[in-house]
Amino acid sequence: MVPATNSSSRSLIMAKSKAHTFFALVSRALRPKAKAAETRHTDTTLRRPPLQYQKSSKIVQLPEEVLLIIADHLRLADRGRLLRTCRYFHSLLEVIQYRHLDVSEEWLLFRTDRLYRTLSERPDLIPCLISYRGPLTPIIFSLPPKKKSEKIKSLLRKSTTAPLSNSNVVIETEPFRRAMSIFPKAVNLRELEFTDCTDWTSDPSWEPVRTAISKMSLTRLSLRISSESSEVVPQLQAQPGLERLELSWVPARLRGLKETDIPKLKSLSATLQNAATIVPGRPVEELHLTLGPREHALDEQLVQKLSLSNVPITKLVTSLRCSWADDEVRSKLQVLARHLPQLRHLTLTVAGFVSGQIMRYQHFDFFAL
Amino acid sequence: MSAAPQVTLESSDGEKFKVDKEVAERSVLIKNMIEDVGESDNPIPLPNVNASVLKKVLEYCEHHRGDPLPAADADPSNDDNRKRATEISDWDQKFIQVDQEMLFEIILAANYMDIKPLLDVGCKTVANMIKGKTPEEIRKLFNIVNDFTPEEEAQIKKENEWAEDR
Repeated sequence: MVPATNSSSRSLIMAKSKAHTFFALVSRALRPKAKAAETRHTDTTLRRPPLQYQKSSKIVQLPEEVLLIIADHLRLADRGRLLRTCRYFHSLLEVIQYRHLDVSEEWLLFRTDRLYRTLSERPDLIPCLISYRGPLTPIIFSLPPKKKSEKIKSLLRKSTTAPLSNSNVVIETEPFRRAMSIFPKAVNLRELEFTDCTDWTSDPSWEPVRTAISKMSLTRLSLRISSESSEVVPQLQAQPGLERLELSWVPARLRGLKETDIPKLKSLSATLQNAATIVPGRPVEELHLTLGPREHALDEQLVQKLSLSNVPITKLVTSLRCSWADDEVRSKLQVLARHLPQLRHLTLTVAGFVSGQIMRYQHFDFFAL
Repeated sequence: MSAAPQVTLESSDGEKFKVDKEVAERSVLIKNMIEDVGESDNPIPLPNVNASVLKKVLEYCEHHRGDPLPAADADPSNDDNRKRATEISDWDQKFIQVDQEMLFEIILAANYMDIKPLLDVGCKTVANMIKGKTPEEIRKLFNIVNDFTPEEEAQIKKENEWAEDR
């Protein structure tokens, strides 16, 4: 039975291709010869160098790879206007426009709903997304248009860490629906950071997004954890290729994280407590330590665990929430020097004034102090 | 001390340029050619570059002869590489102040001869020309024919509204 099905389907294909050839022959015969080439240019592929109708434009004649370098040097808005000039630039540059989206810039944040509108009307563009940094749900402002810009700007200035879900900003069902129609289709995302407070890792209503993200092969993931009950471990376990991880806001609950999970992690941003759990046994070389609510500064027992990284940690960014006396800072630096002797880049934020003296005590190089 | 080794380049219109090997080797194409063929007195033909453009390109190579060579495989996904500054050094800026015709010829020659820093200077210059202009102004500047139907144009404008910064 099986071969029979096979051969019949093959003959169907043959018939199709024969028909295709037949039509091609007929239409070629009917069309005046000189025009044939030109018609092929304009009707099907717009990507083809449009020599026929952009003859006088030197820029359109440039090789594609050169045009892409030029596009690379353009800002989003300028590139957006260049792609509106003609069909060829549109077909060449549109996909690039959606490759690396950083919607966290203030001016762009106000346009998130328009971006989402375009993406939901043009789902073919969604797979172009390689990296995304911005809100999960587009923000719709409920203030009258005149006031909203100033109001939101002052809100943004006031709170760099607090979520935007205050009384002035209403997250409605329409944006939710749009977010749901977009992110499950972004199958090529590699780098992901949602900048709003949506707890998509645990909230049941975000199940489709959660499932979609766990099917992506991410290299970078940034998670804003809004409560200590957030379930981040299943998300981490779904990402064996993850190289950069950022956990912010509150310490993540990491119970259940296995030694074999996220084996390629190179760069981590987390509280010291979380870092002490994640770093051992993984090839972490870059660390950004944030202070958790009950952490004061660089607890030596925890710092010791950081030395169990598979590779030497060479870069560290952190801050000290201790008194800013030289003695205190010096002792913390000595803790670092003892356990992370291969540090090459250290950025330390200290509240207050520290004299230059203390740096002379150290055994390692400071490049970025 | 013996004189620096020299090579001869021949432009598409038959003009010959004798330059220091070090200068010519700013072009990866020529560098590879010399490596493949070995040193010889025969001129290296550059059938895609005419004399006036080649002269200009060699002026650039001469000025940058001592520069460190750019990394062969800069990671394009790296943030720093992606957001490259559009600044051009003073000398390069003066050098690239040419008419549009010559600018595109230089870019094509830099692309063909594989001189990445020069290609970048050219592309940055074009990017700077585009900056801040409306689609209509860009079309005028570069002689681009608007081949959209009015409906398509309106649709594309709407789709790209989110990226508009004014």
